[in-house]
Amino acid sequence: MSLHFSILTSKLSFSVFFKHIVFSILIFLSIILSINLFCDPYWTIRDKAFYGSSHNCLSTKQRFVKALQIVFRQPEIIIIGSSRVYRGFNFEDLPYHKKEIFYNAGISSLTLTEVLGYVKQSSRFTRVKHIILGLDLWMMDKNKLFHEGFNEHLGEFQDLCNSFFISLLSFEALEDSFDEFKSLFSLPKKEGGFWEKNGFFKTIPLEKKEIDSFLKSYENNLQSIVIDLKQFTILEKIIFICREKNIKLSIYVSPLHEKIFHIYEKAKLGTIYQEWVERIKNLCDSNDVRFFNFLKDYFDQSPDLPGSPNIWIDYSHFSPIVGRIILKKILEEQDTKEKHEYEL
Amino acid sequence: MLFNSHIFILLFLPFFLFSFFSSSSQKIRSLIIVGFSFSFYLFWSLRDFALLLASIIFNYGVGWWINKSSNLFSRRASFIFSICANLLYLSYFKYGFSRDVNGTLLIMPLAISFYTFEQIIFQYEIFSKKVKKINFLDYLIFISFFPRLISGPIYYFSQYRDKFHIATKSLINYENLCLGLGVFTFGLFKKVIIADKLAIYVDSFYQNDSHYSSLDGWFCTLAYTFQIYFDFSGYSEMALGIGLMIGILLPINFNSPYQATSINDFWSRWHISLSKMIRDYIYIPLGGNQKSGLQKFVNLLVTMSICGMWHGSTINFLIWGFCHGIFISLNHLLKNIPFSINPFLAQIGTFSIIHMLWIPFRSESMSQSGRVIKKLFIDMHHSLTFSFGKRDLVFLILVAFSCFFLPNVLSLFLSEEKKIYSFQPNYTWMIIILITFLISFTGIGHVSPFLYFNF
Repeated sequence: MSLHFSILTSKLSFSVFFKHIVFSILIFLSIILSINLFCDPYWTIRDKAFYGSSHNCLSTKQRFVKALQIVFRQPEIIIIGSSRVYRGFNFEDLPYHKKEIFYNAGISSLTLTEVLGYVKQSSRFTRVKHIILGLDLWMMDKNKLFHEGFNEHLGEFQDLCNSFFISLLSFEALEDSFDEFKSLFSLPKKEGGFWEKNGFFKTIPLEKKEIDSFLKSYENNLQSIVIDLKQFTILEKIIFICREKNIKLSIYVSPLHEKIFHIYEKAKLGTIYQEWVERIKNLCDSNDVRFFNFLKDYFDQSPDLPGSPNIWIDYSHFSPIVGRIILKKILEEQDTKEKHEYEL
Repeated sequence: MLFNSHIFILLFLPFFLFSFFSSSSQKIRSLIIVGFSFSFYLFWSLRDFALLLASIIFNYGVGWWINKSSNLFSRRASFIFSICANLLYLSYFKYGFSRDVNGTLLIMPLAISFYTFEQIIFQYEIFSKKVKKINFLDYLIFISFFPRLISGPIYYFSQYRDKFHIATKSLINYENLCLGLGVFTFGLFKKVIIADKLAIYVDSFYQNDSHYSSLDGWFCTLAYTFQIYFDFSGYSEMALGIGLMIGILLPINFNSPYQATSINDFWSRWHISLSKMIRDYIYIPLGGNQKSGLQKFVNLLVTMSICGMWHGSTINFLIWGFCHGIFISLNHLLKNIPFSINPFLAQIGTFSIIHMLWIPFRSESMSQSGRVIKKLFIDMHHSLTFSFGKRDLVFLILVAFSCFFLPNVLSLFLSEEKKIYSFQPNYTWMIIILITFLISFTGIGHVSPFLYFNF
């Protein structure tokens, strides 16, 4: 015991001390790096779940993960929006050379301020040619400009480097790697579905009870929303960035299930909703941006849509079948050359 | 680039040290310092870099002229011109005069207060012949030296020119490297693990103070009191550590300020380089304590108000400085009273005053300061709910304990007196530094800037 203690307190030369400590630091960082690279909990280089692990942090840290994935995937077409986007647009059934050009940047409850961040990130660090933005009314909530986990410095080079290092060398990443690894030995918890490489979330069919409880919470959340139409300036900034970087921008308004629309009306947001859509249309028209109102097309003119289990995942999220129709319609209006290239 | 970023720690710093020590020429080493310092600053903004360079060239030019000129009138006129030009430059950006064509306020160049004041002092040192020989490369290193460029510590050309000469001539010194690494590591720990964690409570409280109870108010205002100390002293220690690695001992900026037993004592322990500067270049020229009683207090109030204004243009900072001036004056008055206060009680009293004065310093406006103070004392009975967890409370208590009772980082590494806790090159200290480094480095989340970058 005393021998061990004397080793700890025996004096070293400064040169030996410095070299040993630098060497030890490098060894420990290499171990952390190797674990994180192997488990890759954020799928920066990985395409699939780690031997069937739970990949839970893709759900819990979407804002961080997708900011990195956008850069690593280098897509040409990015679809951005809320959970309606990440649940609604899948490209997995496309031929390989076509699906590789798409990335689904849908993120839970994405706000317009956050959209701006991701547009900056994409325009600066990817070869994106076309951004498709799915807008929802709550994106302009005055009380929630951005959510926890959103990085206000998206689009800055230094921050991209730091995010990259965080994904490889941080203790948080190590914890996430460990969780991934641990999930191999327990029944993986699939939080409502599975993530795909392209950012799509394949939702497991929900039970009626789940759908109804979702509707209730949706109604409650809507009570605290204060729509701030002044946030159209953010939309203008997004349009400006896309124009400046020569990126095609298409904006659409999602279809709404009639139950959700009734909730809006109940919360006295029905008129604001119509005004909001009108203002987006005018803004797009005046800036030569393509605008698609699927609210109108699919709510008013397609009475068979609401209530069909193939078309709605729940009352708020449309299914990939609708996503496919939306995408087709948007891409149909591309130039002939691009239309051929991206043809679905 | 920030000291608490991966790029800095993994790439910039090792590459700088490697480049510095792989050259033996004094001139090349000086150029390496300048080159790295400029690239460090360039990471922020090209505009700020251009402004810094213009300011350096202007001040060197005027300094050279003052130094060369033998005519007293010409020297005095040039000196006054340079002071006015520097103050105008600072005021233009710092005090809300700078606007673009759309009327939007321009962002203040980073570190403007620090480098402008250092250059004003440089002009004074030339004018008063404290400095007789100047060389452009020496001056470039002095102003741009990256470890302290952004937030100090503030230093003087007359004291540091020779230190840079010695450092650029010296061979690699492993003792300095070990001490520098230790100080840097503890500074990183203070910033990443303590200050950034406290920032979460503080920011959420000051963003929406009306949502919080009185108890939350006490918790968060105390958290800010510790946050600003750990943030700024963490930065200063990282700067000191980097300087030490190449053999430059920068001025010590903090010496356990919350262990102070009076406000005067606090100012001899808090942001020491700024306190020294305002004492030498504002308080003493105003007459200092050589004047009559009333004049002395007026001098104190003026000096501390200027100190407040140095931090920012809003009324909050002015009030913060003015109140410190009042308490320092009271401190002077109490010195004449023939009884002594128990040191522990004096420490608590001093800490309480400092804690209260950080409220206007942190608040967005005076109305918010008023609301927060009211919440702490008047609205107490309305709500005593506590929005934070037990862990948060324990964390704050541990942080407070370390401030009040533990030796500071510099006494661990740099104290002349060897104590039981002093740094020794052995395996115990190797494990301590290694663990502290790994916790801090892997704890870096989204890199947050230092609070004093705003000033």
